[in-house]
Amino acid sequence: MKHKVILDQTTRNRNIQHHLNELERDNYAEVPELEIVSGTITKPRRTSEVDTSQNRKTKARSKKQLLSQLTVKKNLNALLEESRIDQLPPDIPTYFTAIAGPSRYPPRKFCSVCGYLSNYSCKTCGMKYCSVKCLEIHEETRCMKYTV
Amino acid sequence: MTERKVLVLDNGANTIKAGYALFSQQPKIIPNCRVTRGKGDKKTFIGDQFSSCTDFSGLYYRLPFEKGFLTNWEVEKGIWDRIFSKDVLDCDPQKTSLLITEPCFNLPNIQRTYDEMIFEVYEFQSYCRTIAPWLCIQNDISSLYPNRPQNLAEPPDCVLVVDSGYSFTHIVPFVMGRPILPAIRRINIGGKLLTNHLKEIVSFRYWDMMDQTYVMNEVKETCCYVSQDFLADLETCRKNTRDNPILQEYVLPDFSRNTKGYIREKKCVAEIYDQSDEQVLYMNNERFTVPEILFNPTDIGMNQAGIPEVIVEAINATHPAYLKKSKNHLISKKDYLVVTDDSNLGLIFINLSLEMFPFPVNDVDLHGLFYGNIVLVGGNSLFSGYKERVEKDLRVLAPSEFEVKVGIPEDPITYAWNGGRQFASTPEFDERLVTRSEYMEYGSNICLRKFGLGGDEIDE
Repeated sequence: MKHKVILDQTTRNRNIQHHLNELERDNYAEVPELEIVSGTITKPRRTSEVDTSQNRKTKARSKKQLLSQLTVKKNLNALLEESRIDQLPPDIPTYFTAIAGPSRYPPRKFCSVCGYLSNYSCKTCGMKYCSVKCLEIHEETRCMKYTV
Repeated sequence: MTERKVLVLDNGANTIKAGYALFSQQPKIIPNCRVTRGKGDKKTFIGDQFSSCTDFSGLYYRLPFEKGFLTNWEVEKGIWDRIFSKDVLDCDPQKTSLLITEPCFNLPNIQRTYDEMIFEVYEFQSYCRTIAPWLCIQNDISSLYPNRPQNLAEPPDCVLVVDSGYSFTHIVPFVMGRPILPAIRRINIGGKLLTNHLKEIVSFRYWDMMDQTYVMNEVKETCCYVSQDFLADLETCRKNTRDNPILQEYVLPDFSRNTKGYIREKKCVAEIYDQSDEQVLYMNNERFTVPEILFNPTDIGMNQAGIPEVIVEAINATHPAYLKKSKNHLISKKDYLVVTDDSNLGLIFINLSLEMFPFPVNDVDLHGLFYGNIVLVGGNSLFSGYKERVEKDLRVLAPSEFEVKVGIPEDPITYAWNGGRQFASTPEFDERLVTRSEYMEYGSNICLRKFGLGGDEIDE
């Protein structure tokens, strides 16, 4: 008899969280080598003041340094840690205190195949389905194929 | 007031609304992204150059904003350079004052980067940084409620702004023009998530559209609406084509003949095989289940409440004691207290001499004022049926003695920019500005002090 895999609740929750993070993506496919920017960039506007050549050189160098410092790529999690707002006392409102709380209503269940209301969930992975037809489609295409 | 050139920049995650305060009535709406095409001619579009793009296949987007915060300054600088160049706004930063928006609860390290970029790299003359909902209330809010009696048409003291944008939705209560910081709430649902969700379900059910963000965004904006009775609409969708008014056939653009998709009239059975070269997307329950996520984030597994419930949560978190005395506090000129017996009006004018602070009104009355003055802004407010649904759901949740009044401006996307334009011509704008010389002398701390909207929480 074929041994059927059954995911436990923590893995199912992890899959749901992973799916929510996927919904925040900008691009479906990551193609980083396209970052080479071709000549359609506009040159920054030259300042209208006229500096003496000595001043302009030192000004330009420190500006370049500053710019390279500011444009270091940091993702949001790193910035959140760096800001240390989680170490503030709890009565000070911050990005974290502003998160809206959970709903008072229980969640509604939708079939992951057709989108109508569902009453049943897949034994293996936990995704919802509404009828045997949708269950067959789910097992053929999606079940256990996109897990973390 | 000195004559100065003020550039108002509503720096959003999806689009930047930019324009000069004195010269323009409407801002330029510029996509805030750098788009590259992978295959083919490998062109790059920055900001407004994207409007010249005709082929939307294989596009790769680079957004400076991540989850609503400006993290990628390299891309943003490129876009700002383009906006300030002669081709777009022709701005000379050294002769201009800047009024720019930031997200609510922007991180202090990111705020410092804003200061450094604006003063040390671009060298603006002076600038003011604030949150978009605050600019929204600089408009004439009372004009959003046309049925109010004329003698009480002064701007309301308590306003609740629901800003539902690309990255998230913020609910911000304001009293006397200042936000109540501990009562601001954020739902992590925005237009980006709705488009991505639509892409996913369409790709699973019909055609693979995962690469076509632009096209699916158009589909979302054209076909999706907010349902007033979700379960009834869901049942209607099960019926066959003739009895189902919800089903729409969206013809997808093919980039040889038409670059824009459109909804076509439903064909009856006999004609289906005629035009087989058109790719048609059948939008059935997807039309309203996608915007439904704004009202029920639990539909996709996110453990947060929807907009109406969070409005109630935010209002319940307001309390007059949160309004501490502040050095920058602007004393109200109104000098009478009017509490009407007719509880339908909900506008109270309050005497604010410093001795009477905090309010001589208890917190329950304060809540009633918020329920009567709700404003919906942001891109997601453009869904048809959005305002009615918020009113309907909120009426169920709000206490029965309060009147629920929801207003929506004609253009929810440019409303903040318009407020910025109005604000830039008031004397209060000069008080809030930080000049470059002040910044060079005091550093970022002066920006923290002048732009801090809640008063002195940071000092205490």
